[in-house]
Amino acid sequence: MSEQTVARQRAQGDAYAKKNARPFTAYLQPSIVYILLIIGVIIVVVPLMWAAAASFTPNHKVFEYAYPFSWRALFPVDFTMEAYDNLLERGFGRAVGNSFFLAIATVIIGGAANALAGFAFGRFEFRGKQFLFLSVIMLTFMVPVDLTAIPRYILVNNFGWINTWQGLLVPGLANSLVIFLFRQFFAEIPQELIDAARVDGASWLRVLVSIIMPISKPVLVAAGLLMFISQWNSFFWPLLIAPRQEMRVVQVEISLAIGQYGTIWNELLAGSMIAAIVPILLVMPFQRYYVQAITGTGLE
Amino acid sequence: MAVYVQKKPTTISEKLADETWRRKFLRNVLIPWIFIAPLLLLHIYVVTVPAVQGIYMSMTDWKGVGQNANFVGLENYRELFFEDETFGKALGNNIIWMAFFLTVPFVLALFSATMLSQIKRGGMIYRSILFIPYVLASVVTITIWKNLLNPQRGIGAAVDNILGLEKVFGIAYLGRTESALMSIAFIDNWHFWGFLMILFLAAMQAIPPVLYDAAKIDGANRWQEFRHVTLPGIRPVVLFMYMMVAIWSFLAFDYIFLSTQGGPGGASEVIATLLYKNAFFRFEAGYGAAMGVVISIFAGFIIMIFVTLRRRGWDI
Repeated sequence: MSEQTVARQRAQGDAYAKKNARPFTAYLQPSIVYILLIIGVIIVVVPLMWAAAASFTPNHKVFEYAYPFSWRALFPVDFTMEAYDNLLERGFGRAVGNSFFLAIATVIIGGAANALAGFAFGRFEFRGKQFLFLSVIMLTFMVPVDLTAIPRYILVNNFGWINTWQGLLVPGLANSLVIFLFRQFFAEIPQELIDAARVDGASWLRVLVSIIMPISKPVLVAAGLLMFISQWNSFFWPLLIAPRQEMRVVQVEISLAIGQYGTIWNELLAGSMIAAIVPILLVMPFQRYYVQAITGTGLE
Repeated sequence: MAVYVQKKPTTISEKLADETWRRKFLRNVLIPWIFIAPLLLLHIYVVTVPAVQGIYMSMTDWKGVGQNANFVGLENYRELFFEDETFGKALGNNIIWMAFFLTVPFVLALFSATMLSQIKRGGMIYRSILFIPYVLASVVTITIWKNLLNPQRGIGAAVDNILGLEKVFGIAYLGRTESALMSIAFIDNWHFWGFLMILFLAAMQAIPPVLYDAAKIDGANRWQEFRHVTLPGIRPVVLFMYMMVAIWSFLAFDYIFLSTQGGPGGASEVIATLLYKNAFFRFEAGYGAAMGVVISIFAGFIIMIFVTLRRRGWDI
């Protein structure tokens, strides 16, 4: 089935589902549905609003409206940028830069490695393909990070990679979900498109770069988002491998601050807001790609 | 013209058939392996070698530092299952964790996805908002909720304040043995269930409309439609996520480590936090590695169950 047919059918399905699907909650009055959904939204939004408001509040007033509770706790009534200014002075900007650098490097290098492998799994026939695919994917799902973390730590240590970019970067590059995603997408590309270029004498790399890549924008966006966010949000490995001040990423900086006594709460929450806003801003406009990526791979 | 267009593929296949063995080797062996090589190297370095080393380490009494590691066979495993009560407790907590995550988020997600699928206005906004927590880092979620569950200044205290009560809801949810594990599960679920909801919603919208038509012609009521069309339609996704969540339950680490580190008094200890402590604080790296192997075996077992069911013809 061509891509357009699938897309068209899906669009029809969407339209139909909106119009005609009448699941069991259809017994509920529409108003009740909206009320329940709004309750859900409140449960999601209120904690975030409180945290955002607190990050714009002077530290000695962070909990002033929390107990006794008033609505003021959810809005920055004593607005100040103090927490953010202090964070910057402490070198939090450097952590943000580190996180960005690491996530972008992961997207570029990891994206290339995963895309190449996905292409091979999706388009080539070769001996041991099935075994290789299953062992790469299944093993990664199955083996807990904790089991591999200790030997990997030792391995990285023996390489002298503690507190280095390689040490931080390399374990986050291979991503099963992203390989899945690429494999599925590449497998659906019509063979004629590739044959035509091959007969004209184009190398495989050239086919990949000048024919496949231009038509793969949705899958590239989705894979990029998946890799960027998972690297941006990871904290355990960076904490283990790069605790040195100049190498710390955002999550490490925050997680080290959580455990401290006498935590400066507005700064901690300001850091959290910075850590939170990046994935939110990335996912919001591309939510469709992101969701399609996850559903598409999950169904396999 | 038409003849020319029809002939074109024939010439291609002729060209492909005309290959020498060298070209065939290139196409069937060398090129695929070149494409896979970068990933394979990464995988060997990041997963395969450490996994094998981990399995070997689990059969030694290695401390995690120094060179002397003695091979002790399955001694670590014997200790794990027959002597170590903390491990039994942690395993029990993992199972409670799994029971929680195989029910609560699934029910929530199924319910809200069905509601969202019937909504006419603003569905996209609700969907986007409910999905936000999923993209937040564990560190961020924990920072916020540690405050909200604080006995003096959290939500509980606020509820007490509004209702005029004293320390009824304002208790240390994370600091008490009875509630610590479930409180962390609650926080993790706050972050996680939106993800399931989005998956189920997408699956519901991919159900072919013909099926609903057919059900209508057969005179199905709404509940029967849900039961016999919607539910079977999303079953593959639900079952796949059941497998993944079951596996993830054994790997649970981030939220517990960041909120209580397994405390108080082991009340929220799971295998992964125990492993971490053994490996990095108690200098029992070999013993910790044995726990890692046990988790992997559980995860492998869950995958096997699903693969077997699929072979037996289940539509998973």
